[in-house]
Amino acid sequence: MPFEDGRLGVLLLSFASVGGQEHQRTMYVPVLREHPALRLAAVADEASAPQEQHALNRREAEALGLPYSTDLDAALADPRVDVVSVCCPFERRAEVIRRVAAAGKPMLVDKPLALTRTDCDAIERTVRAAGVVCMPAYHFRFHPAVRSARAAVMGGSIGLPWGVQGDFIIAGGKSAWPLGELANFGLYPIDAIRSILGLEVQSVYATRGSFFYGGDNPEADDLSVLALNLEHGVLATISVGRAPTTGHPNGYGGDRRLRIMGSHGTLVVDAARPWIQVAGRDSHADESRRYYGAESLRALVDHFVACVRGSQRPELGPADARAALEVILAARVATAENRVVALPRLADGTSTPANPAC
Amino acid sequence: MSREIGVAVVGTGFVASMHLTALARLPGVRVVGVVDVDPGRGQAAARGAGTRWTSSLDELLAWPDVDGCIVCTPNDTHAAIGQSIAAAGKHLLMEKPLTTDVAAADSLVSAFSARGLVLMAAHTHRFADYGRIVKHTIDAGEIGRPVFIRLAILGGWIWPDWRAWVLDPKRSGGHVFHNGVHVLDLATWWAGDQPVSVYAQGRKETSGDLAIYDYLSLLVRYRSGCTAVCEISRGNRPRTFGYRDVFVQGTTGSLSMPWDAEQGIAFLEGGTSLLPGDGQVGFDREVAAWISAIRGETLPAVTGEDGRLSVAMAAAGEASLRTGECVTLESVGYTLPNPVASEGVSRAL
Repeated sequence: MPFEDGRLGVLLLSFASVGGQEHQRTMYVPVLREHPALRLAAVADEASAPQEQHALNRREAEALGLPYSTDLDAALADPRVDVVSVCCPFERRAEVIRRVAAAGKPMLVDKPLALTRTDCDAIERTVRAAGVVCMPAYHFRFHPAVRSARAAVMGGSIGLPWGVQGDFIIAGGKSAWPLGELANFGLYPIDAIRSILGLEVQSVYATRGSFFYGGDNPEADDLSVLALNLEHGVLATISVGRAPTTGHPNGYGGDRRLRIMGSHGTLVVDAARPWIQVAGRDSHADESRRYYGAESLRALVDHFVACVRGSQRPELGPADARAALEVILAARVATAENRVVALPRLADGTSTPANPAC
Repeated sequence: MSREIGVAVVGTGFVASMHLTALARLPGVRVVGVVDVDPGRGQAAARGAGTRWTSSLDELLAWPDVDGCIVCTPNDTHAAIGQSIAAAGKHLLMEKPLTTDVAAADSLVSAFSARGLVLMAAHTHRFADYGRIVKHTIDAGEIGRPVFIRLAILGGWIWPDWRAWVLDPKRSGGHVFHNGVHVLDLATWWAGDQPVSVYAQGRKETSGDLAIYDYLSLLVRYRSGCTAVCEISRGNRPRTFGYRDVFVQGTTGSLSMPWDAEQGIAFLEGGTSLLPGDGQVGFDREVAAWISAIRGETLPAVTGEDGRLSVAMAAAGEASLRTGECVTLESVGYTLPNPVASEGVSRAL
């Protein structure tokens, strides 16, 4: 039941740090709090969560002026809670999502949705059975650059697409994600390409390395290059990673580009655009180009809200997370064994097309 | 003053005209003749260059004033013509690819090395302004060691018609040999690294009847863990498409050279395009470097070994297109000229 002002109440489910990333606080709360159709209602977590997690959640709740509950089912049953922002650790995520789905509450889930096929499939089955919206925060597909490319492709501007070349290298950060930047960022360009083309990846060849941040963790890759073969013989390569580049004119956004080639034309899109370039005594050299376009996460939340209200059908769900995960898992095998890895065909009933009509 | 160097040009097709123009601009060099099996084409080229023509390579090689040859014939003829030139004791600037198989490249490199003759492979892009500034920036250490290179040279201008020998893989070796070696060599020169394997993806865009892939995306793995994605295309649309894109991620920074970085943009009734640039496309510097090496003033800027390496990468690329798998250079018969220690730099997972 929405608030009296018509806004949907949001339950913030955990402020967990996932591999050192505190996305609930740094990414989701700023967008959810400012969204005109949403209102933060409460913070909650499972009672079985570690005590230090509860302490952190409580501090964040107090800072936001929200109540905190360790009784998750009660929090989910609260009529002021209409939707949930899930940001708990991967090892608890499938079970938490099961409980949210059982309460019939639509949810936005931190990315990556899951790290394993087992968890991904469990999540998909759960939300499908419950009939609730479960939207992984794969927001790059909602970036204006990606949306414009998708619209151009779907409008036939370049004829039949046959190739994509993309880079997604973030410029900044003090360390690589412990589970690897392929898992962290790879889903964005993979999902964007699926969204633009409406095609599934069939095989993968890849290289993967730890070049910038070092450390002892062999999984903490910081730069990977994937060569993909998609349906209809469409080919693609993607570089993906995080580099400690200083002085990048695009700032933290780094290099995020896609070139889409088709039978009748070529598209070149850059996620740094639209930008204004500023040079001056007090300006920062590493952000001389300042992006002034729409924020992709906000656009994803707009779509989420529209789906919750029933005015749009979800174009993004667990099946998309599963599809991106398959590519990432295949890329790891391809790297380890230096061979092309064919992706398993997703069984009917457990997948959705890359571009469902909506 | 250095003595005049006599140069003969073997084959007088399109690319020969580029070399002849470069030779005409170079002091201390004289074009002493051209050879072409097509009398009309050969005689026209000879008239244009103010020199003589023959249809016989043996006759040309017997001319006493020939110090070196620039070979511009179809790719499948390179190995035999190169051997004849070596046997005649002449220096050679061989249009790319050096040969169309690794064994022939080995043999050719050995033939010139054994006689102390200069063998240079014509990887012209190394001499172009853009190729040099990227190399200079990397070598100056401004972005650290390259770990990812993206190099795309894309066009939509397929060769004139079905008679074009380039379209016949038996003659050209395939598109990886014919044009792929440009980007493979350049990326490898920039990387300053030893390539290990190639994974190739291709498309036949202009016609399904093509026996070559007019679009190629070649993923090269290097010993240090660096990866390059090298694209070359004659199959993009629109037909007037001319697009070059360079991106290098290094360990401490990155460099970008977007498609419109070098020239002005013309917005015309027929569409948008880049204005012609006035920078060096490379032929002048390339020929000058070869002449300098013949004179013993400098080492060859591109060696026969470099050409042999590009042939091996091309062979691996063509094999990858056939098999759909990643193909190592070793598996196509390439052996390192000098084993290099691999410790200390590899961080590939």
